[in-house]
Amino acid sequence: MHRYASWVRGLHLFHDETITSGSLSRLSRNSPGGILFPKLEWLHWDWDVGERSVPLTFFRLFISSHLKRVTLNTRPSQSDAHIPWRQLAALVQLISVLPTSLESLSLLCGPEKDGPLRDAISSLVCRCGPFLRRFDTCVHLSEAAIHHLTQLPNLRHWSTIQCPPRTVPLPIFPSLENLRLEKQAAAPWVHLLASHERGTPRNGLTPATTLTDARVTLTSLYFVSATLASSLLSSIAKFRDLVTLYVWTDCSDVGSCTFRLKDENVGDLAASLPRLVNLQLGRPCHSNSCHTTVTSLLSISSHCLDLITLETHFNTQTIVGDMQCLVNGGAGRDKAKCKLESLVVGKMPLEVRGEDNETVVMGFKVIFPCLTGILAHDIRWCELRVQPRS
Amino acid sequence: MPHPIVEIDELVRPVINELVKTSPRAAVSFALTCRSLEEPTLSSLWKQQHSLTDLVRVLPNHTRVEGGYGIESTVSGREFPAGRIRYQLS
Repeated sequence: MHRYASWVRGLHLFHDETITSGSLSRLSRNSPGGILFPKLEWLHWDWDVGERSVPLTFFRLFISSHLKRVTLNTRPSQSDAHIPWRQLAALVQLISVLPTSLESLSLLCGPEKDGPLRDAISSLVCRCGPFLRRFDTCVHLSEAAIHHLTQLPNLRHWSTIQCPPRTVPLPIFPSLENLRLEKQAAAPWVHLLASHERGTPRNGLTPATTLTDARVTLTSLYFVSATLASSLLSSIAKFRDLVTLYVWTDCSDVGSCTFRLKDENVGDLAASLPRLVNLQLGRPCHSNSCHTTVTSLLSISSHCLDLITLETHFNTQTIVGDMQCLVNGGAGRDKAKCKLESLVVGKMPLEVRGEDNETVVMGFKVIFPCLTGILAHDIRWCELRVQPRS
Repeated sequence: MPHPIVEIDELVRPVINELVKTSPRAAVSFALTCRSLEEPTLSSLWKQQHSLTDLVRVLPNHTRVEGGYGIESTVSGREFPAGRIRYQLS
């Protein structure tokens, strides 16, 4: 057994692992030093409250001194499920013994704001050194831990749901490449980072770093769709390399559209983010109830010249008239310069009579001259035949 | 005496990687053709595990219990010949 176990470098444990606790106990007793895989380098453990998960109390079996990447997902599949006290204690103990030489650490333990889990993870973060390149957690960390993270010299990827502390010593994030800001954390962090970018640091500190190479992913900028605060937008505009911007609202009904951007909002976004490469706007839906129209595409095309992927949706009730206007020399057609080749519209509906297909296709060609395809679920989009005919 | 070509890691490794990726059974057969190929192939097969089941199944006294796997008595630590792998992956 030891021969085979010594070959294992990576282990993914699912929540429905079919090994009995008795077997694990025996494996534990027969493993040198109580470690089952002595050369394990990465561990991905999906744990659930259910009886079939490997009990967290066996965590020591997997803590090898060679561990470099750890992902621990203990978010219960049922929102009302709680981790039993004994398992929680084991989880805290597990986190406290993780090696501080980890390069990647993802602790997805549920949005806990207080308690032993928060203390254990914060303590671990504070002990992590220059090896750490990636860190993700759903748990609110202590202020000291956040400070420590912002100073780590090699931290490349970080995601957080937590607002920044009131003061952050500079320089911050010397090597950050990808910052993922979730939900309410987005606006405060963008403001803080943008203030550093503008050279107007808080508390009289001098900025010593820039984030011009960082890729900032705002995964839930739901407030933008509601209000589109101009101050926030101007802050975002400082990030010339913001390549991905997801904008959606908390959607309770997938079938109905909760996308509340208007044409002028998309125009502001596009004008503020001319270096966008990937853009996903809203969640494509079945209904034709959103407020944006073809005009939003025109704004994107005239401002975001580097765009490679665009996933969006817009109201198609007036698409024939709008496209006809564009084709006949309507306003804005000369500004379209984007080299986008493929447009993703997902489940967006389209109701165009056969005789109007050509007008619509010509309209799309005016907006995106290099367009060769539209990716859609609705067969009627395919009937447009955007692709060049052979 | 193995053929000299199986001693050349640059040649053997891509073959092993491809077999492990596309057909683990074929990789096991490959490992059993020659002692020189056994270690690199089996270590590659075992490199990533998505369960503890395989490990338990190479033990001499494992048994299937309640939809999972168990061990009847204390594991001796005794090692198995490579041929056992055929069963473990089947």
